[in-house]
Amino acid sequence: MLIGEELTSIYVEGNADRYVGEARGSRSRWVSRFRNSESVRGYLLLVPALLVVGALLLSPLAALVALSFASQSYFDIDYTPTLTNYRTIFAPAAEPVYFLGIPFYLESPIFMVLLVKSILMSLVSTAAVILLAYPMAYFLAFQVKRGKVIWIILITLPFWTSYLLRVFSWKIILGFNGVVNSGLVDLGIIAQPLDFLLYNPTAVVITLAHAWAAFAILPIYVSLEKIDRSLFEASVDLGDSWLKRFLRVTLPLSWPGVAAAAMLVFIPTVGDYVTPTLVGGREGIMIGNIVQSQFGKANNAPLGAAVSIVSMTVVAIGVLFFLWISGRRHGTER
Amino acid sequence: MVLELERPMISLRHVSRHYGPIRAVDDVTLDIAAGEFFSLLGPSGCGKTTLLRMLGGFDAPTFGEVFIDGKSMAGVPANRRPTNMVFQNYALFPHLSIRENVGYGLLNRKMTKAAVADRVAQALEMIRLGHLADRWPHQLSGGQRQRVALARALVCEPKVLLLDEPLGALDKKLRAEMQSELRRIQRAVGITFVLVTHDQEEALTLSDRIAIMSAGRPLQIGDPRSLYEAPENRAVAEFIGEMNFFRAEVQAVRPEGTSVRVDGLGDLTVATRGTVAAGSAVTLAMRPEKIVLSWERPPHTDGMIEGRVVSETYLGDRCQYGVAVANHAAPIRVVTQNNMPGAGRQQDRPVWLDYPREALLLLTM
Ligand SMILES: Nc1ncnc2c1ncn2[C@@H]1O[C@H](COP(=O)(O)OP(=O)(O)OP(=O)(O)O)[C@@H](O)[C@H]1O
Ligand SMILES: [Mg+2]
Repeated sequence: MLIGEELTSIYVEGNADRYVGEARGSRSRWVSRFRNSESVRGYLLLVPALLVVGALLLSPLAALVALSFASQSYFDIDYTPTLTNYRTIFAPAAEPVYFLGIPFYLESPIFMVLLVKSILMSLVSTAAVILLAYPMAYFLAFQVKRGKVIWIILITLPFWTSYLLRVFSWKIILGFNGVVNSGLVDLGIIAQPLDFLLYNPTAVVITLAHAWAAFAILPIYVSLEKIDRSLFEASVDLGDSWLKRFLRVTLPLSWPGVAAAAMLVFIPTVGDYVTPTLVGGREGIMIGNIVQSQFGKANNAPLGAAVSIVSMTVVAIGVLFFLWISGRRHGTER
Repeated sequence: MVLELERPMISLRHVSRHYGPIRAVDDVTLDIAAGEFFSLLGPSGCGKTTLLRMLGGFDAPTFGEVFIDGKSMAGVPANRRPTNMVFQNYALFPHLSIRENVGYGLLNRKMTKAAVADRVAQALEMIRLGHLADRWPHQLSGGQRQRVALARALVCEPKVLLLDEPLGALDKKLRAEMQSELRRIQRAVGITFVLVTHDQEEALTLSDRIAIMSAGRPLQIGDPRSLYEAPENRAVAEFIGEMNFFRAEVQAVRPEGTSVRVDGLGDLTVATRGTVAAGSAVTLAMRPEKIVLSWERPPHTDGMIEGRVVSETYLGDRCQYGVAVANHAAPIRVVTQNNMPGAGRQQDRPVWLDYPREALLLLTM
């Protein structure tokens, strides 16, 4: 049959170059295979990025690890490998020190206590950020019909100023003679300015939450925007109220964005020391402040390095666990 | 035409939906009986989806009222209507397994877990996908997803099932399969189906009744046979199937029929339909497959049309010819079955066309 013949000839033609390729010498075959291999090409394209990552991320990290096994002898650093710093951090004690009801059986519990405290403050900030960012992202994704770009620009506007300035602005808002206090005094609601607004963990949490909100809005917005609108109609059609629809469809489907936003906020805020330094006061210090002081006033860089390695490891394990938990369902799906 | 139904499941009373100046649905009044398979058929943009969405509660009429099972649906949101929808893109929840998708609506009912599981298993059995219950939607083929969407809506046991071009994304073969599946399921469950489609063959094979829509209003509502055999106006005749149109002038209206002078056919008497006045211009319509084509001159050529083949289209099981006739501008289209070997297949051959007089339809619009 004519059609059959045509098909056969097309089929043969389609295979022709493969046969020709195999007929050529094995060297050129390897070259062409190398050139045509998707993965090889992918890695080649990645080389510049890998170099940058290696130079800017891995080498400082390696230096930090090396430093954490060194020791400080007065003004010099002794690079003989030693576990002194880790021993300092984890040295056990018979009597526990309690922090928030958790017993710490440690000789110098300050490091672990501060780490736990930082993680908790960071978690609260992250939760606050998500709670703040989700409604905004929801509004942006579903209520705004025109001019979304303008809204996104408006939302990110505060982030065009420096991080330091944003933290300072909270100092102005929450301070003894700040906006909140003078406003309340002027309104006659309080006689004396409140002194518990600033220089405590709450001030740190508020400042962190505000400072990182925009980073959370965008990933959540993107994940909401991606949801097929007919799924919402299907859910209502099957009897869901708005709240049920949100819990059964919107939230699960935007979960990747929420998880990304949480990572984006949690990881950098655990180690932050600028905000606690400026608005945290004595009570609001975090693990970053300890690290900073070890590298500075306390003059024990190896110990500071060890503390940051410990804190990094704990955060990494926590994050991986979180990703594993929230990715389990989606892992089977994709 | 409003059919007076004993107790309609769905009643639309002067329902309109305007989008600014656009009248997507324009003053529709119709009734759909309980257990009926009703189709909305029409060209793109004629308002089928808008009408269906107003039944489902996803859109509200600008004017008029929708009644379902005797109750006004004004202000009743989609989640409290006795309707369920099968969406064109299926809208299966990607984060839920097939089983969870099918059971989705039942979790909003006061039912025990075991009862839900039972009903879901039954529904999966009905669509013959029990073995895929623990898969994810993205792992199914288009036809399988389609059936899951159907099961998901049907387990809720709605009074009315709404389907918006549910088979639009399937290939021809699978579509035919799903059509008979749809019909089988509809018969089995006895639920009122309202189907939106722009595929006339689909509407004809599936429906008890069809509404042909154009520009937001139904042109004619009827069972498939009456729509095909007795279209009331030119738009319907044109939309369903193929049709030859002849211009004609009414000579006289008599009890036994209307005598007309037809371009290309001469003087004829046809059955009167509607009101026509002598001297008015009308249109006569004739289906291509009702015409009998002879390649040889028949012994008696009285009342036959003599013409010349000017085009030939091979359709596999059938052949369509264009036959040029004196005094008639457009070639007459004739369709014959391909069951006579060696017949014709030549252009410019003279042919003789015969047609039963009943096949001629008098259209006033
Ligand atoms: N949200 C809307 N805003 C403005 N106009 C609309 C809207 N929805 C529909 N229309 C208009 O209403 C008319 C009917 O639309 P509808 O979607 O009901 O058509 P349809 O018959 O379903 O067509 P198709 O077969 O292409 O799906 C169209 O002219 C469309 O442009
Ligand atoms: Mg449509």
